Amino acid sequence: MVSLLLVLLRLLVSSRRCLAAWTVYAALLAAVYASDAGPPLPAYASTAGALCAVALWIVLTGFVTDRSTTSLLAAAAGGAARLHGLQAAAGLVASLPLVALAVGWGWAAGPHPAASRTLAVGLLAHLAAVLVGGGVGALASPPVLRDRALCLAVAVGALVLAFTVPPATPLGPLLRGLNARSAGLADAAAWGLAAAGWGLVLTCAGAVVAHRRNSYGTGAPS
Amino acid sequence: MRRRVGGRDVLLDCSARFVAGSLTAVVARNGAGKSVLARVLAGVDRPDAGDVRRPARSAFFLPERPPAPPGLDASRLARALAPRLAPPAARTGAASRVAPALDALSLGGPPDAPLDQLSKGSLQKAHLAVAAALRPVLVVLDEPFSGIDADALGAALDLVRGLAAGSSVVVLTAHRPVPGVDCLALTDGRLAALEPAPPAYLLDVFPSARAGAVLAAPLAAAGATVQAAAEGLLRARVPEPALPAVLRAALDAGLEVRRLVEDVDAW
Repeated sequence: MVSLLLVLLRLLVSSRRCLAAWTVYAALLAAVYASDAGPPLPAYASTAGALCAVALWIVLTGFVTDRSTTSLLAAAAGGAARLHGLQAAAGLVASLPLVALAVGWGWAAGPHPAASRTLAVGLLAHLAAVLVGGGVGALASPPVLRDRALCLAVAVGALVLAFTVPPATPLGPLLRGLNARSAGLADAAAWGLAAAGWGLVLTCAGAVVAHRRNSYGTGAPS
Repeated sequence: MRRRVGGRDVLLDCSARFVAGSLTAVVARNGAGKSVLARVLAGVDRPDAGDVRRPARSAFFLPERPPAPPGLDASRLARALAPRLAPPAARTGAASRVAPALDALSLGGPPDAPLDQLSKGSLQKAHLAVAAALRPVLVVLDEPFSGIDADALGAALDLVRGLAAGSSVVVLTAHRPVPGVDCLALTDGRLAALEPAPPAYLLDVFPSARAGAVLAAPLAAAGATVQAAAEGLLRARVPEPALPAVLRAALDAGLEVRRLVEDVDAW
């Protein structure tokens, strides 16, 4: 499975489909840290929230839509569900450099000193954001939803729900805690792990629905 | 098994068993469900009813439109697929076996050419070479010869036969029976045995006028067809069983046999 994951990652990177998302997120970090972004935790809350949307973007655009390639890879993976999970995982892995970039940029550019605990909380928050964004992406990608416009609408709607309705995902409480500077490492770890688990549940749900759809790129019979 | 696509029952009560070391061609017209069957056999899709039992290892699947993932050449694809598809004994050196297979198929370009820069026929050759290099337990090929030039068709079929000889289960789809290959007809969603077509040969004999007179009887007896007569040549399509008799008649009459090749255009 690792070899197929590497193939999907290679396809994602070589197609430059995630380049726009990487660039936009780097520009956003530059804007946030161009001036004093305030204490590290609230700054991390905003960059983690944005990373959730960017990870969703990367996973959504990262899904291979070419019918022939998906057929070859689905057969090699052992079915549509496994390929769906692998495609989501490739998008998540492609988002990981942004986690390092966001945490590192905040540590290097912020005028406020950040303890190692703060960096750990920031890292956890960004990882949880990537997993939640990726999970939403897996649940809104083909073949779960085949229409691209519908994919986008559902994904954006789910993201808004995740941020605005507290019980929707554990990511909301985590980011609010960081913003209020009330999150200790234990709280952040608990919410972060819950958010990460939530993201994994969403990804698995996407794979199950892809399996039940039973038509990875199927067209007319020939 | 059954499979419904687009509101239509494409496969109805399809039942077949493919054993290790077998090469089977599923023959059907356009729209009969060859690709649907191939996808189900390869594990891309599931049947709506019934069951498909496959070997534990995943299948190598070549779709009708051969995939051209960007940034990969045939060797890299083989290297990437080897852990999933190649049996342990065939895993090492899988990528290095691609170039000789491509050479046998006359790719007509460098073996490390990116897949997304190849024509359909060259892509099919590249994927067949990957399959030959990986030696997967199950190989499903959807119309694998449809874009390959006539000169390479014989080598392509030899390569597929070699896979079966190496104990792979090979299932391919085609529009016409493939000479020398066990065939199943897919008609109205059902599979039925099809009499295997004997190989046929194209025979060019000179001069055409005398050949027409001398060979008329043996060609008619053999059920051969005279296809074209140009540049003083008589071209006949002769089924393999009748070939010795026709050749003997031509040579005994002092005719010149200019060309004798397997007729691969038929499939």
